[in-house]
Amino acid sequence: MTTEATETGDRDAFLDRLRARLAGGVPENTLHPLPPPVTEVPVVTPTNLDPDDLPGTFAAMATRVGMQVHRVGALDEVVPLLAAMVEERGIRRAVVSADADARAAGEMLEVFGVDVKPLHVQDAADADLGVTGAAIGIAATGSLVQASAPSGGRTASLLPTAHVCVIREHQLVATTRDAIRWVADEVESSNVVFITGPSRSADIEQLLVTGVHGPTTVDVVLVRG
Amino acid sequence: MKSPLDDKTLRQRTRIAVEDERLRTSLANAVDRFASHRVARLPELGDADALRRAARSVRADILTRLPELLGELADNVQTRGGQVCWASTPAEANNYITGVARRIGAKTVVKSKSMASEEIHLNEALEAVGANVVETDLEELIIQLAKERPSHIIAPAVHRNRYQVHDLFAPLPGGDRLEPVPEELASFARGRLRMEFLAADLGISGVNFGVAEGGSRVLVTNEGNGRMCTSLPRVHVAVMGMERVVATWDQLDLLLNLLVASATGQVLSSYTSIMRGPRRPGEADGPDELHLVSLDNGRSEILGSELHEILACIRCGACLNVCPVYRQIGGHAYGGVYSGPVGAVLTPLLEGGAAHAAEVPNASSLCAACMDACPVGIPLQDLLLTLRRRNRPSAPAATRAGWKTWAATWSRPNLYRASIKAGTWGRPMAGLGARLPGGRRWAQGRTVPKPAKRSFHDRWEAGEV
Amino acid sequence: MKVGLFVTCIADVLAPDAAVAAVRVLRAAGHEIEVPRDQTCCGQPAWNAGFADEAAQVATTTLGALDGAIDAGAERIVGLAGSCTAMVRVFWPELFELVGDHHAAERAKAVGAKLAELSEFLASNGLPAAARHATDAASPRVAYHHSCHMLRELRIKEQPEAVLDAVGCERVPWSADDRCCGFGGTFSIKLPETSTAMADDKLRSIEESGAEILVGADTSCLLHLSSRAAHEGRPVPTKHIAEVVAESMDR
Repeated sequence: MTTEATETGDRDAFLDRLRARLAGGVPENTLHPLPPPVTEVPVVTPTNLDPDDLPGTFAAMATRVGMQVHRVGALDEVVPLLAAMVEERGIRRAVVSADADARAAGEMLEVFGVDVKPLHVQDAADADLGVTGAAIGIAATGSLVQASAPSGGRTASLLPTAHVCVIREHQLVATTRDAIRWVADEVESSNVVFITGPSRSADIEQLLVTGVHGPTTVDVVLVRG
Repeated sequence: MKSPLDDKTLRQRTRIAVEDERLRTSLANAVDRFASHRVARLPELGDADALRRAARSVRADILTRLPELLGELADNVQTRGGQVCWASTPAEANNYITGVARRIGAKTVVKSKSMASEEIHLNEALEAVGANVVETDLEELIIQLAKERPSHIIAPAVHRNRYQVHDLFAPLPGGDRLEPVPEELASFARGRLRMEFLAADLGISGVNFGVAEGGSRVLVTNEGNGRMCTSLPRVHVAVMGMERVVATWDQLDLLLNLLVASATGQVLSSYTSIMRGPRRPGEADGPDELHLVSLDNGRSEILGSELHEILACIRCGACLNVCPVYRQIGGHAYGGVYSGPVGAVLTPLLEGGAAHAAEVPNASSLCAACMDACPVGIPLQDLLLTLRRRNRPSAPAATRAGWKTWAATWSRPNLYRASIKAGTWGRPMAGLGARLPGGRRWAQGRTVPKPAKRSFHDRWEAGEV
Repeated sequence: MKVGLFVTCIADVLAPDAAVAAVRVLRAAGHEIEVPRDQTCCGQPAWNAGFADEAAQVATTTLGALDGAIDAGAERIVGLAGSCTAMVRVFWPELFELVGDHHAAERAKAVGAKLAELSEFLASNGLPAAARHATDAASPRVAYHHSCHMLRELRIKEQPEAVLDAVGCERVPWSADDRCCGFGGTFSIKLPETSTAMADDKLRSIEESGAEILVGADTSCLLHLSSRAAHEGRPVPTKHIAEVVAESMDR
């Protein structure tokens, strides 16, 4: 249910006030003059990025930001990993996003007796584990980029206590610039999120606690093939 | 809601703060942590100084094009299915948001941190129409329970330790068996808030960046509550200070990296959410309605003025973390919504109606550490000096007369010498009493240096040097 | 070379020994000293308090004195405090433009170009030979305070460190060495509790460092810290960098 008018308030009055304030120009600071105008915004290229080894950079950074990284040659090598996880963490209920890799992992989980459901909010809230794929990954920051359209929603990587993400090496891009430009073109999704670690807070005495609202752990399966 | 700026003077507030040893220890630990992480991370971005210079230029350009960019953002938000509200005043923003709340019959409202919403007292407005407002940022929850204002831009409850948090949580349902252990307290908050997120009708958040060319809003968070507030309730309202826009996706990239590096020194925060529009068919979650409230609330008065550059601020908190004054007094002593160096500039501008807002720029020793730390190069020291000059006409008559006399005496070499020889300046410094206004205050915590019997000039002219 | 001395009002009144030491050091390094008679104050206290007109009134007098010294043949002006040197070099042009005296602003820029803070000057032009010593077991353990104006306005960081190293001091590291001491001019009397808390922070760090003396290029900072330390019953010996160099000439 949406209202008919999608704009409220007086745009012209609001913006005219700004125009009037800017009409006389902006006072110059002679003590600390402005640098020259920027024609091309410089690309942030972190020093840790090895442009010839995006998977290696990604794995190192994802580990650095607190995610567990598992590198495998092909998707079926994930099976023992999932089996171990189910047993060690007592996973009984999982939700999977709509990504093909996530659904494949879901089928593996069912074999281990996990109750696997497609993504719906209430099921995600009840689940021990959310399995997703990724749209792309950012090597320089170790980030997983999830887009809501291909995933069929956002909350598989948000509500369950644990998150497993399957991502292929060829999905990696080098920098946040590359990722943001990808987002610019991703018009189908209502939401894109860069996930760079588990949920965390340092809000009580600056002591780091993970799993405040989002997942406590994030396991990334980085598939070569 | 009464502001601390109405109640007490800056001196009174700082005095209270400085006497709290526990606060000062907490502050020192927190700010040192943030600052050292920032120092470690910035060089990893490449040529950090070049990036900061570029960021200053970029923000300057954005501000001169603000009307055009806000229009473009509003158009693109609507094209992508969102709704916008132009709110010049707090009343306009609150009327709109409470209107949305009433229309949808909102009983529970979950909020992710928004300093702009603190400016307009949004929570009170929503409670007045019968909505239960739950702050979901762990630190915002803590200060909500304590009925306080934030004391740091990115770590609002930095002044509270685990025992204090435990005492705030214990009276809540299920809180009676809690121990003052951070993991337990966080876990309690998680369980409690989880229910609120799932039941909430309305989610409210701030906006770190509005991207004009993409009609998108960016939220930078770590806990996950930001994603919850903007994905679970049926309706999401984002409150954005109007200056928080960028023109292009490329500009977003630069400022996002500098924001995170400067605030916490992280690689990126756990969640960088880019909100493009309401839920699409085939998506299992996401709001049906997306609203963006563009808030002026005094910012337009700053635009184009001598204080213009303060609008470049991206709210990273780096200036707080390096400020030697903030370190001793914490955020509440500044009295306003914003604290630290940026708060010392913004408070008289945004909260100027309050009794003791104009003097907040005096909460600085002008050491310039903030300027060195600011990722967008805001010349904070210059702005503080400008505000002090603005305050001159309203300074007490005795102060103005004092400076006038000083200037008349010290602009004449012979009178300068006579004044120091006669000890007019020297006498209060010899501790015989407060002849000059400063003498007594200096003597409160410090010994009073004795002026030399003979000045350097005396000795030089006597041929002794 | 012929050098004009910018004494600074605070050294003139409260620490003339530091100024005397500076003259001794500069002469021993081979320079001829001239002290412009009409200098009073750079105007900084009023400038920081927002009283620009009053600051300009006083600064104009000192500008005339320093200007005059250059006209009379001084190749350089040497300033005995970082904050006053910063006031002249960084802020005077802005101050004079603000009060509408463009001609004074231009003259200020010319003076600023010839002005050096003492340790800056010594680092570029050489220390007296007699002052040079190696650091050894007998070296005084010194905590050097980077005053805000030196560090952030003038960007003079390595020069005083190099001077102290060259005269045989052992510089001890201390955690708060570049944090503001809390003086800030009228700040120290507007918010005295905060100001002394800032001083206490530095003093604690100095105590922990094991330094014997606190050294700086700014008398105002040194006086603020030493008068706080004395009040708290834990006095800290302080010396202006000029005094440290002068004393090392006697070793």
